Amino acid sequence: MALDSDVIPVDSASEAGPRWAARLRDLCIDLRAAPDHERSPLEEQVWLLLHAGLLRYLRAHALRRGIMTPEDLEDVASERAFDLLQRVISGRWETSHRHAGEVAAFLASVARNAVIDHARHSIRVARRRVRVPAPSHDSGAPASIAFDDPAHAVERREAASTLASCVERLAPRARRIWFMRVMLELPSGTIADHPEVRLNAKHVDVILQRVRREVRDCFEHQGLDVRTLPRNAFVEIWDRLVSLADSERATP
Amino acid sequence: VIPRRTGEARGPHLGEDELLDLVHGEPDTESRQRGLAHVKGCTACSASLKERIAEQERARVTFHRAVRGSAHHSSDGAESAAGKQIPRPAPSAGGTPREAAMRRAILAAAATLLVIASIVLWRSTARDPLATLAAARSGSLPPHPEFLTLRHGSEAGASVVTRSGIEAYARGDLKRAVDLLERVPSNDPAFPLARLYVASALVRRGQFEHAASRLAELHEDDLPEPWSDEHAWLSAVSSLGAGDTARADSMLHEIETGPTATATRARALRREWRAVQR
Repeated sequence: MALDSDVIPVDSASEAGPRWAARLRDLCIDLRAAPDHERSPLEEQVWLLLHAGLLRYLRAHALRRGIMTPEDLEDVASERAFDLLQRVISGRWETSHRHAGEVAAFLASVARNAVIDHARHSIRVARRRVRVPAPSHDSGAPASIAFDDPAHAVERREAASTLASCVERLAPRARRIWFMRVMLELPSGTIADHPEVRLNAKHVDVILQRVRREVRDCFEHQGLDVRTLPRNAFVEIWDRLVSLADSERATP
Repeated sequence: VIPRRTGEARGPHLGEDELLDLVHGEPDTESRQRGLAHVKGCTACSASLKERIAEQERARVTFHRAVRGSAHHSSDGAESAAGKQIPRPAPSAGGTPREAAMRRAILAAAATLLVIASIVLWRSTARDPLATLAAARSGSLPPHPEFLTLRHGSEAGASVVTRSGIEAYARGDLKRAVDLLERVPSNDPAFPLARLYVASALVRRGQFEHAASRLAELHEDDLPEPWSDEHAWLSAVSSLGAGDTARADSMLHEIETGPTATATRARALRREWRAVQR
């Protein structure tokens, strides 16, 4: 394998680096300095950012090689993120004197090695050659941009806003369940094990059935048709739900 | 690169880093608002953002399944497969309060076990002279297979296991002897003798309670002479070694008064026992 030619461009040329990497660096510093009883939430935040950062570079490396399934990518990202979290906790990976670009470059390097390891040790998977679907915008071709039709954009955004209002009326847990299933299309089992849900999978299905009916009734009560929703309505809803969740967390 | 104008503006899509910043970045920053405004009008970026959010939520589930030990209500095989086989991070020096409580509980349990072990050791040490005496004076049973002729004329040595066990006993490999002779089935004619050899080996190894339980399975009538006398002798010795001095005293007295060869051994043992007590 021509390893030297496999360098994925990382936004590390400047010391600034990507913002998520700067946030990761700061969270690692906070985690190291935090007293024991405050570590758990920080560990989760650090791990999630490690996972996301690794996945970002894993995807890029695997895309070039075409050897890993999306499930493989998430598994490898999880394993490496736990390894790095251990290193952060033990002080074996010290970020306090690193700039964000270095942090991102390190993750890119870890991801590259992980892909090579996977290729070496998973010949069967490599033979399968399941290609990771490439996000269209990563190809650098701007021709496929698909913005909303201007004639219907306002109407559709109003529909999205109405739907978001209907969802906001739900209880917090029901709201999260609805979003994860309807918007993110996650399976009931995953939703059931989500830390903000923690229910039996069958219970999730029961709640979903009720909540879907409530949301649909609310939406139609406003005189709107589900078919008028834009495909990216979820962005509006996600943004509002994130804000709502933040305010709920802030309110004791 | 995030286009500064949204809506119908034509421009490049959000990059991977910008999508990550949207999902994981600080809320309410200007760049986030710009990114969101772009995504709301861009179907491709909207789809990519949706993928990243779904990945984040799946990752949270993975993290909680692996680290926080969230309840496994799910039976979703694919998701479970994705979340499994992830090592838990090594606990930090201090650990969380839950981990600290667990460490305290483990330390308390270890301390309790240590105290119990000390008491057991002290008790075993307290009766050690008698146990040592019993093991030393228990003697050996006749070792060779040719002695294994049963009352009804059947050949106990027919069993390879029995012969091998007796041979192991004869050369002093008592553990091996016990292992082999314990395998002799209860319907085997050699079973009573095999059990007697097991008891003898156990007494010589200092396992008196275990030996007593093996002897209790036998009746003297099941054994030919001189084995029935050896049964009584081993019962007395194992009682002495186990600290049951009253039973040992009674049995030794009984053996002493009899006409058998073990009477001499019993008298000698009793003398030594009295010397140890003094």
